[in-house]
Amino acid sequence: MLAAGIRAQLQQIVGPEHFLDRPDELLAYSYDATPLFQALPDGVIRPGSARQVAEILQLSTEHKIPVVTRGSGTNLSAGTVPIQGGLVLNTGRMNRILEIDSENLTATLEPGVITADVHKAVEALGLFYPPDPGSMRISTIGGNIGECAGGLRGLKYGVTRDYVMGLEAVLPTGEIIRTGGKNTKDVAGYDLTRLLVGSEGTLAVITRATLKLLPLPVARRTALALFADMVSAGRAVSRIIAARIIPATLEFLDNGTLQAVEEYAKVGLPTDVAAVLLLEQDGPEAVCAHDIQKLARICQEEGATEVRVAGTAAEGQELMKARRAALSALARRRPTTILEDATVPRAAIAQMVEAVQRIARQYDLEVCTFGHAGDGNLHPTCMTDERNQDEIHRTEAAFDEIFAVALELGGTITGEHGVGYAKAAHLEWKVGPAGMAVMRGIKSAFDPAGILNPGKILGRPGRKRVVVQR
Amino acid sequence: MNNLQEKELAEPATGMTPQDFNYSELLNCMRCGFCLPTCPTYQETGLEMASPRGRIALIKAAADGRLGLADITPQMDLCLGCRNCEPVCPSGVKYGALLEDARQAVAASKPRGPVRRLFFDVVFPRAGVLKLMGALLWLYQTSGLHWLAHATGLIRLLPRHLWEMDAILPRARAPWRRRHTVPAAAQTTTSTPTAAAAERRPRVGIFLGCVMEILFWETNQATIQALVAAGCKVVLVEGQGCCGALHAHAGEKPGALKLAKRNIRVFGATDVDYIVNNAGGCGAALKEYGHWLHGDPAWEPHARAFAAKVRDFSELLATLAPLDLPGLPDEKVTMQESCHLAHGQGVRLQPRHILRRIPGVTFSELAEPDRCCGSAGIYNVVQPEMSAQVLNRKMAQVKDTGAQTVVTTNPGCLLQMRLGIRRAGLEGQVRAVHIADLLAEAARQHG
Repeated sequence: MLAAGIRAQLQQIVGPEHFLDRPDELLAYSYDATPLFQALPDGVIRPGSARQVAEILQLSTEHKIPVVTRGSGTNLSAGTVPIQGGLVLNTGRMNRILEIDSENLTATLEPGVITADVHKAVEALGLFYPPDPGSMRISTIGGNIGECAGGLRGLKYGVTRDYVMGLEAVLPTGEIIRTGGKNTKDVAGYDLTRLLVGSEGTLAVITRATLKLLPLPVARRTALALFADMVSAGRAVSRIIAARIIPATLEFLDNGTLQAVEEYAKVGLPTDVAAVLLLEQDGPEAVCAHDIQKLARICQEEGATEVRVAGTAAEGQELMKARRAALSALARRRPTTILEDATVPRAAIAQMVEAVQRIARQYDLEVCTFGHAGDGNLHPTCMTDERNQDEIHRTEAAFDEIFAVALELGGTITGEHGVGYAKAAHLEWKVGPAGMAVMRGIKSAFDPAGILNPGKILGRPGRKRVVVQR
Repeated sequence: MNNLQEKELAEPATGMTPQDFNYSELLNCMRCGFCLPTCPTYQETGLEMASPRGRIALIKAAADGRLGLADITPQMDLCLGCRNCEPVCPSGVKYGALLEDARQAVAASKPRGPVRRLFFDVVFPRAGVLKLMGALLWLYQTSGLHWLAHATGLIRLLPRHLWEMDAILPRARAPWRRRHTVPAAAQTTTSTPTAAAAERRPRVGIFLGCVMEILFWETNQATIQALVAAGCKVVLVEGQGCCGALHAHAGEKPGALKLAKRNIRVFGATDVDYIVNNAGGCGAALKEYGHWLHGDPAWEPHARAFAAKVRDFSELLATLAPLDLPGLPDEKVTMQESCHLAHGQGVRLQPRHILRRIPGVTFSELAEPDRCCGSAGIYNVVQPEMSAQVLNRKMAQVKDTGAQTVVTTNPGCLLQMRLGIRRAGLEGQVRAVHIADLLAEAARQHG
């Protein structure tokens, strides 16, 4: 509960219609896209400017009120669940694209702009903003920056951090900082831009961003390859990269996902194969045509049982159907769908997928894996039922083990969903005690009162690392 | 079938409570948020509780006892019920069904006011009262009262959205001219079904609907004529009435079931192959009769058989031989889809197919053809502000197409588009018509 005086001050800052605290309003901001996590805030506030954000944070620091910054709430690590109550600061009203600069190839915008709207706006000018997280039709740029979102095009084009050139952000004390800018080269001091990207709302509230743009590729070609065993599929991925081709997307489905997809969407793929690779190249027409043939040849040489190359864009869409239907197909099997993002160096993909399958059997769980094979970012997805306590415990134990294997293979606990609250207990496995200490130092330098998204990233005591038996 | 008497069957308990909500279906929502960009009320407000994901969370919170029904009522009321969120849902959550349960619980928790009782217990269920309403409307429109009310400005004593609505209401047909006629050549005879089957003519029972029959009598007649022209045997089934959709959407499920049973009984007594309607909202409800009466051993099989025969007018027409149409003088046409036809019934290609076959028609898509226009049953009357916001967005897109004609497939949408045309000052430049009326027009044009 907020004290009446504070509530009145917050209402004064943003206007009473932009401060919400009816029971239904609080409930609606008590969750994000992460299953199993929910906590009520004490208020929801929707500022319209950086100045208002500054006033809100100043007041919150003064009264030690937690502030959780939230865009559309598509977070997958409980990063925007207000676990300690306080305020949810929703950036939805700050949603203007302020400038698209065709000479410097940048876009400057407010954090509440929807990612797909950025795509639409820049593509109309023949420009390209590559990050394309699965939730791009509703996720906000502010959220993408907070989580350093990835997507299907990560292999060739990188992730959100590679496209953020400058930021305006409000510190918990109410001061406004500006980092980076439109300069390609800029080494003036610590790289605070990169530090804020992926900081999950724990250091500052981003109020404006300048993004890097590329020229829009003119053409796109698609191919699909089926493999009888995981190892050949993994080898094909490694060979493709070794052949000095970087496909725009290189996606993967395992047998379980494929079966679910066939059952649900009937895309016409054989279900007795171990793995499907989906390959796309973009760029000039001639390069696409050349690369896609070469990719197909490599898959054949590595023992693909079948390779299909799309002749037209429409055929390409048809081939990508299997990948696009993956999440839906899996989500329909059971009430609760837990989507993880353990990531390994791409050479270790086959090993990782096989480990996931072994662990799923061991814990008697239904886990299917699909994901971004090209960048090693996998989505082991567990279909379960939150009402079955025993199964949920087994799921947690299985994911502990999956993360441990990923780390052993030189990978990480999260590729693109963030640590948030859901994986805070696993972070120390990845960064070690010294790494944790440095991160805590950074946190207190930005946020001495600890009001910004408390309990996230650094907030939970380290979990005991499981010993993996092989 | 004849032994099924609505009155004999005990009415289901009206007392839907949050404990009765379909909890498994509520859990199916994985909260991914993919529905948010498709939701008109979320688009307008930017608020999570005004989104499908938010509303499901509210319904679940009520089922969990974390919120009371009074807490969730405003958002249940604000929902258009357009179900635009359903096709994009990865988990396939049946949002419309969850909403109906919640609304039923909300309605059951409150005393039923006199207006509610008048509409849901007296007006819609009774064919005689509906006819009377039609006659009164005709009297009001032709006696000079309508003219007087508008000329003197007295009508403006009503809230703006109501007098605007009155201004765009079509002219009701005189009470003594309301009998439908089936062109003689194709009129069904008492011939046996086998004889009919030998002729391979689909036998079609026309579902007339309540609002359609009062306000759009000509559209119903045009529907009959088009079906006959396409080679159907059309049957006028006596004793039918309102489909119950308005009841179901307003949380009046017992009333809805009563109406469903009446329709199932009277159509069940015929031997029609199809039950054809021309109102997307009614069609979606008719197709759901099997679900509505799920678990009722006496009625469920009949309800399923009924639902299996239901077709939208365009859905059936698209499968038949093309009509021989002289066509229209060059006309640019766009289509505002009925939410319950597009999302409730999944009928999207067929009306477009029919429009494209009309000589002289150039078809131009709206930017968001399947996004609700804000009509949503009686939504535009009970939620005028949000309805107007949603309509403004729609009209801007209509203007962008440059079309002279907006085709719809549902009476509510048709009235709403006419309201939108009036508000946007486009009267005389743009018109809104039902697809059956456009076909009738194309059939009439000669030379």
